[in-house]
Amino acid sequence: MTALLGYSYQYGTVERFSANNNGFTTDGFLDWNLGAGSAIQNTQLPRPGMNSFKDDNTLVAFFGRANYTYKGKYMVQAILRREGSSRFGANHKWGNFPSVSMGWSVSEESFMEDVSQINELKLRVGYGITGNQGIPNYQSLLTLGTGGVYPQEGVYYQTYGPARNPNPNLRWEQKAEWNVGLDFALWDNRISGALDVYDRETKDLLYNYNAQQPAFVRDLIYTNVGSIRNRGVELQLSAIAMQREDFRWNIDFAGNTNSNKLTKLSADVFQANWLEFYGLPSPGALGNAFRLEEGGEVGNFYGKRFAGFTEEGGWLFYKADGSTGTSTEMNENDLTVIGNGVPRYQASLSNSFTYKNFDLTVLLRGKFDFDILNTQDLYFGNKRWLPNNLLRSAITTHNRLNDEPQYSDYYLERGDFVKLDNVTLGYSFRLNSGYIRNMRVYLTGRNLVTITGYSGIDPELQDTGFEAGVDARGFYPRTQSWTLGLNVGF
Amino acid sequence: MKRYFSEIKRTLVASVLITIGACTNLDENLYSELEKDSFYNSRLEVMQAALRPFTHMQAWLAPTGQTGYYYHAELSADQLAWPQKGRHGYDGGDHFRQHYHTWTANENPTRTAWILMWTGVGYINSAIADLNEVDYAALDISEEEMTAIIAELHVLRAYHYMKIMELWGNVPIATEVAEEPANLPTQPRAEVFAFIQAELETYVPQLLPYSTALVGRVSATAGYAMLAELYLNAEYFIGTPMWDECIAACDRIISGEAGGLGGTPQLADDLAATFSNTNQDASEALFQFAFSRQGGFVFDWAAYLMGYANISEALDVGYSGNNAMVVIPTAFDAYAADDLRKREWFLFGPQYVYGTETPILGTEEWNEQPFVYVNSIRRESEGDLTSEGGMAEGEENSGARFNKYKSGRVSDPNYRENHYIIYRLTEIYFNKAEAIMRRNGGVATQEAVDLVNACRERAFSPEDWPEARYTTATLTMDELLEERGREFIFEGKRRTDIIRFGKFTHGTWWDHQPTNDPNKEIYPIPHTQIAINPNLVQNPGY
Repeated sequence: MTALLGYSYQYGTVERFSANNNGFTTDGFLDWNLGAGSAIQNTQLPRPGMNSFKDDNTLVAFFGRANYTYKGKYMVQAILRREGSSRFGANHKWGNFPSVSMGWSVSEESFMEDVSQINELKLRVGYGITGNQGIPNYQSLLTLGTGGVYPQEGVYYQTYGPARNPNPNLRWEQKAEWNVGLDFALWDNRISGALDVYDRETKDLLYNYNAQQPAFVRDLIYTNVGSIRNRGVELQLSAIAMQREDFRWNIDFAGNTNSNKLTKLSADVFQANWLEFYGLPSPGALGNAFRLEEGGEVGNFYGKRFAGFTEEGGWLFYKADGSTGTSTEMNENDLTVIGNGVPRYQASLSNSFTYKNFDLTVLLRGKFDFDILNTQDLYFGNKRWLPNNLLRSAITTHNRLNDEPQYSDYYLERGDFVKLDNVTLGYSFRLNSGYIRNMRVYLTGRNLVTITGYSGIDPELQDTGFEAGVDARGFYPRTQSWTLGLNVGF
Repeated sequence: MKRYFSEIKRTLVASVLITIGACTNLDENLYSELEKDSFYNSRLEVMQAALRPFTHMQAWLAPTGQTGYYYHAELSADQLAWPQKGRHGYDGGDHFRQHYHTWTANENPTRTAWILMWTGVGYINSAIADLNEVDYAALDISEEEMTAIIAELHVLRAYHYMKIMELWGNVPIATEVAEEPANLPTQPRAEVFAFIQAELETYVPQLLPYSTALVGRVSATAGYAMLAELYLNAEYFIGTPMWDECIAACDRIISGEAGGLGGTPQLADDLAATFSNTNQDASEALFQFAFSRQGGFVFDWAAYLMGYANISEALDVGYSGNNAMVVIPTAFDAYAADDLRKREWFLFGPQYVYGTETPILGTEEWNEQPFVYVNSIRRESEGDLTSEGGMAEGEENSGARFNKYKSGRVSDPNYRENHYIIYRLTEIYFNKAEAIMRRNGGVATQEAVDLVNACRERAFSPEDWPEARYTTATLTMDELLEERGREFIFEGKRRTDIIRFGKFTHGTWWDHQPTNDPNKEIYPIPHTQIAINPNLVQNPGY
C-alpha cells in the first residue's frame, strides 16, 4: 500500500499593453519612438491609441492518492481531489473530485496457471469525476466596464455600465467517466492488446448562454446548463505475425468509435434551444454551418437541402413541407440537420518488417463515416466568383450552377479516407568499431497516398470540438515529405 | 541599490506571507474593471454612469451598422432596401424577408434588435438603481440637478419602451435589473403604452431646457418630442386619439418653452445645415447623439449607407462601407424633378473622383467601367433595362444612395464631426400639422398647410416655389405621408409612419406586394427568448 498527499497552487495572470500612433515623418525609429508620431497633436490624422489590461485567477488543489495491491492480483487506487477556483461564485468555489479504479490480474490466479495460451489477462474498471473551470475570469462578479465616450458639457469622458450579467451561482463543470478495460496477451505474447469501453457524461456544462431579456442587462450569461454524453470503444491490437531467424513481421492495429450527444441544454430556470457554430465567411454571410440541439449529435451540419437547379442555373432547395423553392423563398424553418463532421470510426494499421539488416514500416490510417463541408467549392467553384480566380469545378462539376453561393448539403461530401501515412525503409550496419555503437540509414516518406472520394485537397480536417469537418477556405495543404536519414550512435 | 535590496526583501517577506495565507484564498482581484462600491465618488462619475445608455443606444437607433431598430424601421418600409448585389448581400435572405414581410420568429436581425434594445433598458435600469443610492449632496450635486438626471433616465427608458412597443407590441415591463432569471410576463400593448405615457408625463416636466451645455442629452425638447410622437400614434396603439395632447406637446417646443440650442428652435434655412459636420448646434435640433470623431466617438454610417472603397474617392473621404442599403426606385421617384432634396440628399448618376471629371470605376458587375448609380434594382449589366427587378437582382450600382449626412472631405477640420439628429423641429411641425388635420377629419386647415409649407419651402428654388407650395386643397393625408417620406428619408422613421397611415400591410411599393395581414405590423418575439422565458407570449400569427 502506498499513499500520497499533496497541494498545488496555480496563479494565472495576463497583462497586456499596447500603444499606437500615426503621422510619423521618418521610418528611422521603426517602433522605438512611438511619441515621434504627430497624431497626438494633429487631430486630422487617425487617432493614436493605447490599451492596457490585466486579470488574474487562482486554482488550488488538495489531493490524496492511495494505492493498494494484494498479492499482485488485485489492485485498487483511490484519488480524492479538492479543488478551488477563484472563477466561481463566492459559495461555489470548491469542488470534490473522487476517482476509484480497480484492477484484477486474472492471469495471476491459480486457476489460470494451466491455461498456457493466455500470458496476460487483466480486467480494469474505473470511475472518476473531474472538474472544469475553463471560463473567463470574474463571471460571478458585478463589475462596471467602460462603454465608450460621451460628452459632459463638451468634454468626452468614458462612460461606465454593467460589464456583464454576473452569476453568483457559477460552479464547477463535472465530467463523470466510467471506463471498463481488458488488457490481454495470448500465445506467448504473439497477440496482445487492450479493449476499452468508456461512457463520459459532462454535467453542469459551463457555457455562455442566452439570458432572459428583460430583465437581465446583457444578452448572455455564463452558467451551468446542459450535459454532453460521449460514449465509445477503443481497441488496440499488436500481433507478431511471423518470427523467423532473419525475418520478423509485426502488426499493430488501433481503432475507435465514439458518439457525442448533447443530452440536455437546460436547467430549472435556464433553457436554450440550440448552440450554433462556424459563421460562414463573406461574401454573402451565409449563416452558421453547425447547430447543436438538445438530443443532437455534436458536429451536426445544419442548413438547406439541395433540390436541383432551375433552367437558368439558379438554386432550388427543399422547403420544410417537401416542396421546392429558390433561395429567396427559404427561411429558418426550412433548415435541418444535413450531415455530421465528426468521424464515427478511426483506425490505423501499422506493419513492420525486419529482414536481416533491413527494416520496413508501413502505416495506414483512416477516418470513416463523416461529412466534409467543402467551402472552397462553395465560394470558388462558382462562376459568380469571377472576375477572381476560380476553381476548375466552376466550369466542370458545377457548370450548371449560375447563382450566388448558398450553403446547403450540396457542398457536403463524404469524407472517408485511408492514408498511406508513413513508409520507412532502413538498413542497419553491423560495425565492429569501438567508436561507433550503431549506424542506420533510412528513407521515410510521409503523407504518400490518400484514398478518398472527397474532391477537395485533403479530407483530414479538424475532427473534434464543435466545428468538425469544415474544409475552410484558408486550408494550408499538408506536404508530402521524404526524409533520407543517417543515425549514428557513438 | 540599497532601496533595490530592501524591495527584494520586502517582496520575499510578502511572498512568504502570501503563500501561507493564500493557500486557500480564492478572492478575485479586479484590475481592468471596476467594483461598483469603489465608483460614484464624484459628480463626473455619476454622470459617466448616467450616460452609459447613450453610447449604447446609438447602436440600435442610429444607422451605425447593427441590425437594430433602424434596420427594421427602414428595410420593412417603402423607402430603403438591402438587395442582393451579385455575390454580395444575400446574407441568409435576412433583408429579403424584411422587404417582402416574410419574416419568421427566427430572424437573426430581429434577435439582435431585441438584444440591443433590451440591453439599453438594462443599462438604464442599472443606472437608475445606482443613482438612487448616491449621496448626491456630498458630491456637490444639487437636488434639482439630481432630479433632472434621474428624470432624464426615466424619459430615456420610456423612449426605449416606445420603440420596443412599435416593433413587438406586447412585451414585459422591466424597471429593475434581474439578479436571477426573472421570467417577466408579457404585458398587452395597452399596458405598455400606459406605462410609457405615465413615465413621460411624470418625468418630462422635470427635465431641464435644452441648451448647449446639454447637447446630446435628453432635455425638455427631447421629452416633448417623444410625447408628441406617442400622442400622434396613440390612436393606432390603443385606439384613443390624442390630437390635442400632441399639439400641446409640439407647442411646448415651437414656443421655445422647452429650450433649444441657441434659444428657441428654428427651422433650418437650407437642406444641409441640419446634417452637416457642423450640426452640433443645429437650430432645429431637439435630441441628438453627440458623436465626434475627435472626441473618439465617430458617427459611422458607412457600413449601411456607403458604397465600397471606390466610392470613397467620389466624396474624398477615408472610409468605405458595405454597399448595403439602397433607395427603392419608387421612393426616389416620389421626388419631383425640381425638388432640391433629390439632388442634395442622394448620390445618383455617374460618379467622379472628387472635384474632377475622372470617372469612378466599378469593381463588380461594372468592373473597370464608369460607375453610375441608377434608379433600378435589376441586372442591367446583363442587358435587363426594362424589368421591375427584384431583391435578388441588384448590382453594385443599383438604386440611388444616401448622401444626406455629409462628413466633409478628409482635409475638412470638422471631418466626421456630425451629430445624429434623433428629433428635429421639422418633425414637430409635421406632427402638429398631422394632428390638426386628423382632428379636422383628415382635411388640411390653413394652419396645417402653413406648417408643412414652412418646411417644404427650403426644398425648392424661389422660382419653383409658387408651383410647389401646398394649399388646403392639395395637402391631402396621402400627400402629407408622401411629403413626410421625402423629408425624413434615411431618418429611421418610415415604418411607424406608414403603419399609422395604414399602408404598411396594405401598400404596394416597387416589387413589394401587400400582405394584408395586420399581424405583420408587429414582429414576432424572437423564439430564442420564448424558449428561455415561459411567461412570454408569442404575438398573434407567428
